[in-house]
Amino acid sequence: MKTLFLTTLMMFAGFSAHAQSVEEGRYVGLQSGYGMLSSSLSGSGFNSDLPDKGGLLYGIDFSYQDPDSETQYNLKYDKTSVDQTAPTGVTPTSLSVFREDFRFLISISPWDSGRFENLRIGFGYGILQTGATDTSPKNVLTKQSSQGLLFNASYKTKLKSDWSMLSEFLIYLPHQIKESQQITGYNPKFIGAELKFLAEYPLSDDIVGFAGASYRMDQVSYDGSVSRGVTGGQDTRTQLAIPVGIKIGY
Amino acid sequence: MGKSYFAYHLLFAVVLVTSSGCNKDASVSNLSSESSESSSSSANTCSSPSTSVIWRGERSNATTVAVRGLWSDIKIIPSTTYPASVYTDAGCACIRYTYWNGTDWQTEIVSAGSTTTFTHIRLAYLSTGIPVVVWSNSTTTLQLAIRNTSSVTTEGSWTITNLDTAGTAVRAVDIKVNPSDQVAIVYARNTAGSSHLILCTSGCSSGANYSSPSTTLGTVGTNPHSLGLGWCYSGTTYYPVVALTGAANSSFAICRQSTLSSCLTGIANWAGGAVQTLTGTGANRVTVQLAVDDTTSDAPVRAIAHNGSALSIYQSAFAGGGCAAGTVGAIASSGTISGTAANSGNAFLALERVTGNNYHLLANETTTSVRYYNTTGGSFTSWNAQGTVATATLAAAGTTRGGLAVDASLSQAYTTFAKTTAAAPFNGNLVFGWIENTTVASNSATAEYYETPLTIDGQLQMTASQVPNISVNATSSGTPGAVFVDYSSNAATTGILRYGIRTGSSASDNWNIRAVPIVGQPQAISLVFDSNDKPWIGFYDLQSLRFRVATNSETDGTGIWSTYYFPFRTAVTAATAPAYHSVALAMDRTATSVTPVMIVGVANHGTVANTGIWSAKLDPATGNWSNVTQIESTNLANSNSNLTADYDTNGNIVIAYYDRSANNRVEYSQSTNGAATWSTSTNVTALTASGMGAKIKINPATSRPAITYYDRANNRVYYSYCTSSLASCTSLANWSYSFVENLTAGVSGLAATSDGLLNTGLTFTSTGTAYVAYPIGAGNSGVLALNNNSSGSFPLSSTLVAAKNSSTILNSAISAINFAQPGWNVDSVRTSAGSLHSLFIGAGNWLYGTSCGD
Repeated sequence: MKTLFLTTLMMFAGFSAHAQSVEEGRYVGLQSGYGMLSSSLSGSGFNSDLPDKGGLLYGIDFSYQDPDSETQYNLKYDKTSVDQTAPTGVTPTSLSVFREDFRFLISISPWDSGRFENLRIGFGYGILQTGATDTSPKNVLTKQSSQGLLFNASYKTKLKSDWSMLSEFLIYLPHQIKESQQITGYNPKFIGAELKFLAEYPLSDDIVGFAGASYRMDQVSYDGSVSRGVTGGQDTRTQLAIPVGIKIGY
Repeated sequence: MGKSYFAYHLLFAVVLVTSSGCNKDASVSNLSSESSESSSSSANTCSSPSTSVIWRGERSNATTVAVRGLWSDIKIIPSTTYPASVYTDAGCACIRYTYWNGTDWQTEIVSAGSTTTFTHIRLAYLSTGIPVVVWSNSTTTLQLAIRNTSSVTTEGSWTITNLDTAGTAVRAVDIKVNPSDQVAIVYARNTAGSSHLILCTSGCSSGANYSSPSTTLGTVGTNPHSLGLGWCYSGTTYYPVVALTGAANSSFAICRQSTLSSCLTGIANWAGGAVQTLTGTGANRVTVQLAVDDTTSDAPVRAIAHNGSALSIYQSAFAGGGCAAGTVGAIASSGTISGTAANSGNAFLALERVTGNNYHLLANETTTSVRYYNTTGGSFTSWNAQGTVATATLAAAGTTRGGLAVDASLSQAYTTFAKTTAAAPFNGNLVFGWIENTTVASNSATAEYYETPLTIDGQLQMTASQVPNISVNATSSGTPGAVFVDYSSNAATTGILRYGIRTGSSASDNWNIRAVPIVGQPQAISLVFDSNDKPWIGFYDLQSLRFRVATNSETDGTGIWSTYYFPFRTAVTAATAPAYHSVALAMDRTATSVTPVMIVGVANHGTVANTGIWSAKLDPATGNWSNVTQIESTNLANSNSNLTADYDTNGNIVIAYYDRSANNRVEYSQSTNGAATWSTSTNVTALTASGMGAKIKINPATSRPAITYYDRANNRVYYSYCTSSLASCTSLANWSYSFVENLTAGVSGLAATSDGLLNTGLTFTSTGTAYVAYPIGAGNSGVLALNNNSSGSFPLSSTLVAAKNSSTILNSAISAINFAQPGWNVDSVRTSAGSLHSLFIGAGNWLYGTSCGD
């Protein structure tokens, strides 16, 4: 599956690579790689811990920036799927853990020159869906769907030999969260944060290859208890990703 | 710079991978925890509850009363001069034990839960003073109960043993204890069936030491009411002696086996190898009694038998001695007792010898008299004519039996028997008859006879078609109060509305109970206190078919009572169980003056659209009501019950009720403006057939409502709670639930028409921990349970148990309505001082209170 996706990605790149440059913010990005998902539920009562387990990561993003504007629009989707062994005491014994991230960001570059010339700040809206196969009698990792505001800042550093380094920090503040099968608590207080570093290298005039690492943590704290058996539960879900991909300018 | 940046970033990635714990195993802990809503824990788990009887009811003289004492017996407690009686009581479907302790009569509940009544009950004492009770459960079982102590100053507990479960109706039971504390029990299986003996030869204070039933001793005639039993003393050994009423003649038999267990394996082992005739008694007689002197070696066999026309006297004159050594054969009659006739002793016959050679006999005479006979000249064959213990209307032969106890030390005797419900005074009550002088001839005027009720307590709840009848609340200073309907008349139309308040802050303080002087037929009550701590009592009046509210000018109810009629005038139809008209009171705390809000559940109505939930506010100063608002139409006859309400100081009023229409579930509505407007009702779960015993409370820690209720058929108790702020609690999506009891509530055997017995008591601590009090029915442990979610969950199957519990397990299969168990109709309040008070109907169908933290 992973090989097939990468092959398709390269073929698409070969046909599409033309027109404007990636540097100007107009590109289609394709990525794949290795993603590790973990989770933990803590609080009084039922607790669970799923350590990092790796699986396929893939995604696509679309970026547009008017040549006469500093405003860049970016639409992105990525998904990670992992097969995990369930903790002792719950059924089934094998879990399919997933994470899907939709985000739309609008960013600007406030400074035209100087030290922060390459800094972009933005905001947007995201939808995050995470979870795993339902387990019983207690749900180790509930299916969680949230949506809310995104705030990000990215900084691009030019390195030697055409390499560049993109650093990005993102905060996710959902206003709505839903759980299915079992409910952890009420009064959810949700925050997510992501730190990402990508090394980019131009493969051609219109194609940039990149690789790097990102770490994302989403944490929900609840009051009380509903049906998951934990009181004052804190549900933390993380993703460590090592993506490899290309950005194709248009 | 670029390389260093890259190296830094790479290092960051490595650190992330390393710190993420790839080698850890997946794990869970506390997997068995159940869900609940909870905030912080509370130290108050009610581990040391204090329980007391608050009200026992007052025996009514209405003809609707449940009959007490149809089957009774009485004995003198050994080493005392105190009489004690066991008797059946239909008002609690139970067996009661009432004894004199030197200053007062005390009553305990021996067993309960009979679907009909217990019958043929008999009492005996071991020499230690421990009472042993045996009876038929009217269906298939011979049961035995033994008290754990002989003490007359401490309350005892009773252990029940099933002695015979052979599957036929047990009747004509008798029990005798010999001076060696060996116990014999004789009885018949069925009419025209077989007679059997059960023996205990040692350790007879334990039911485990009683034998299995013997093989058939002899065939009994039709409908025997009593058989004879005694012990014959050989000088070293006691031999059982029985007397049977047969299809031909009545008979007797002596088992001269040194190993008593041999008496159980066939009549061939008995003296003469067969039963011996009491000559001339005739066929199918119903009563025979023995009086064998078990303190004298080889005493004669003495019997009084009904012979069809009178009570006939039999005394053996065995060749070669008496019962222990003589040649056993038939006994000829020595004549009849003067004055006895065909209907003498045809219901009950009690014969007793205490000391010396004088004997005492109690017998009914038709259904009009209770007669006493004695011998005073030392000859068993010379009986005095009858004296009259009572002229009363008795139940028909075969449906009643009384008892006789002679106290030789005082030369007095006591009797028990029951009057019919139509027999005034003491309608349907157990009567205690007193024979002042047993040393004079029974027909002498100086014998002196008196009668009085043995007990005058009543019953709190009806035995069928119940409506919840307890509401509890507390004053601002933390004093608990209660309102309840006393159904001692056992009829919905003659209940007495009573208001009570505890006299102090200590668990040992008494309650002052007063009747609320209304003219009406109250039911479905609700109690709140206003900001001045004056009580407000809502109820439905079955007489006027109106909803009413009463208040008193004093907190303790000693002031002036005022009543108001709810303005919805068209409730013209009584409801049919399990539905009932219900009432909930709240206060509009946004008002500057006291403003009661009355919410009523119209379960039945001439116009079905008018069924449902209605509310209106009262201005006590003017007596005017606001416009009436219909919160929901349940739109079906007999379509709701269990209306419950709570309110806060911000004008929020929440209600819940069991919607028995097609919705068939607990429903919820709220007002956030002091009952000016109400939200559209919503169900709080998708569950159906659930909502019995609903109670609602606002969690003070979250300001969110929660509701507890039963699913009777599935033995569940639910705790539903709103998961969002109050404003959003009008949507099902914002409600969740957890189990307080799951499949183990033991109430599924309860008939639907007795749903009204089911109630829950929901309270919250100031920190938001929910405490739920609820009865677990006789289908399970038969206890009052108190569960809480202080640990984050309701601990299923490890429920905290509060209050006094009775041993009802052996009777669990008999009936789910078991008035020996505590908990029916429980309601709870947590006071401002933090103490928890639960009032409920417990053992004996009395009102009990259990408190914690006071």
